[in-house]
Amino acid sequence: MTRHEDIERYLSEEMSGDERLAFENELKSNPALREETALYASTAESLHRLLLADDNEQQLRKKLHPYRAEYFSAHKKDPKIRALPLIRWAAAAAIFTAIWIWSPWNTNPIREYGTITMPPLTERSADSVNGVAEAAGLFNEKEYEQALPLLNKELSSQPNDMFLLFFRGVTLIHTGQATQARTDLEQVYESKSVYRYEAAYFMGLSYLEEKDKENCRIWMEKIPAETQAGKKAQPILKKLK
Amino acid sequence: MPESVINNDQRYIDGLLKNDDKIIAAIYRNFAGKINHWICANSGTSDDAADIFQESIISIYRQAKDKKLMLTCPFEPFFLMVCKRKWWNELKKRSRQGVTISLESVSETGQEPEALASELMMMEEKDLLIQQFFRQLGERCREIISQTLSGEHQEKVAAKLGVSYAYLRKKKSECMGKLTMMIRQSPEFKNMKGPH
Repeated sequence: MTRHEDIERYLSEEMSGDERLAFENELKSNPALREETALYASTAESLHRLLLADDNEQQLRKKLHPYRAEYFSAHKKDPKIRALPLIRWAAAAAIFTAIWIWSPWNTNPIREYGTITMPPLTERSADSVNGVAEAAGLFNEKEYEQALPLLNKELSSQPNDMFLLFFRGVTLIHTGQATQARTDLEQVYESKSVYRYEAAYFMGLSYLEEKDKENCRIWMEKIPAETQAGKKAQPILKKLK
Repeated sequence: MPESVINNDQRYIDGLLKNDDKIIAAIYRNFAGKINHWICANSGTSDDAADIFQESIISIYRQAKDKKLMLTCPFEPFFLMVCKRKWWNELKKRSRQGVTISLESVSETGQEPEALASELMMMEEKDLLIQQFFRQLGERCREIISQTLSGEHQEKVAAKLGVSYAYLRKKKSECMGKLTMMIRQSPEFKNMKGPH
């Protein structure tokens, strides 16, 4: 068993009482092991923060966006919006309620259900360091047209990278290139990648966008309900039935 | 550090954690003008100021969420310091010849805000470094690390990846070992002060 495996077992609390005691004694007397254990633990903590999408943070970003124009733009928006009299709003709402029976294909499915964060989350200062980080930044800002050439470039040197293939697939859907997107996403689905069910979900969405209920259902049903992608797919499947 | 008194402005931090509209509005209303003015006076534009302002709010949110940030000083000097440090870093990136503002001009707001801002910037620098090296790992390593850190039960993760739990743990520790070695050997890590 390697030292790193010992560290992993120690930090995951998988050591027996005696093993743990011996390891802790060694930590006291061995500064190199102590330092490596601390670095291992703090690296795992950072990765946890970087890799897991934080829905609350995405919500916060959305809330901040309108303030940008209000406080920083040279051309502030005219706050005056001509309001319809209340009674006309109420009448309009009633009419829409009566005629609007929700169907997923009556909305824009990709815009409605196709939001996903490309991890690791990027900072502005990472842009020049790493092409993938730059692509992720653009992707997360929904600048899909700009993210696409960067992803193409990265994939030209790593054509079998499922992470990149998945996010290029999603980017292609957002840029209206569903056929090419499906080539990428099917490849991801066929692999053992962590993104395989997300790939199936976006395959389904690409068909939903084309109002192809049958193929959408086929792909959504490939996703186990307990997975993250499955939780997103279930409400769509219910509406499709 | 001796037990410090939590400042009343902790409400800003708590508000950000809850995505509180009133707190968000108050931050923009009270500080956007100052940062816009300062960045425009230091080689930037209003667009730069908007980016820096937004990213500073997000950074503080992350620090609050992951490190349980407790404000021991008023929010304003801390927030302005974070914005200024971020802008200083951005200028450093843009200009190889050096920056046109000095650290001294950034460091006029007192020790406590500066200490809190430094801690935040340190965390971000470390995250960036780890992110950079994580991308350089092979795909299988990235996959194993991502999955095992997802919070899902490890036996389930092993089953999903089609391996035994013992193998998964061994591979994860090998991959993490590769990553810590890359980090340790980087000059940026060697230059980083403070605890890991």
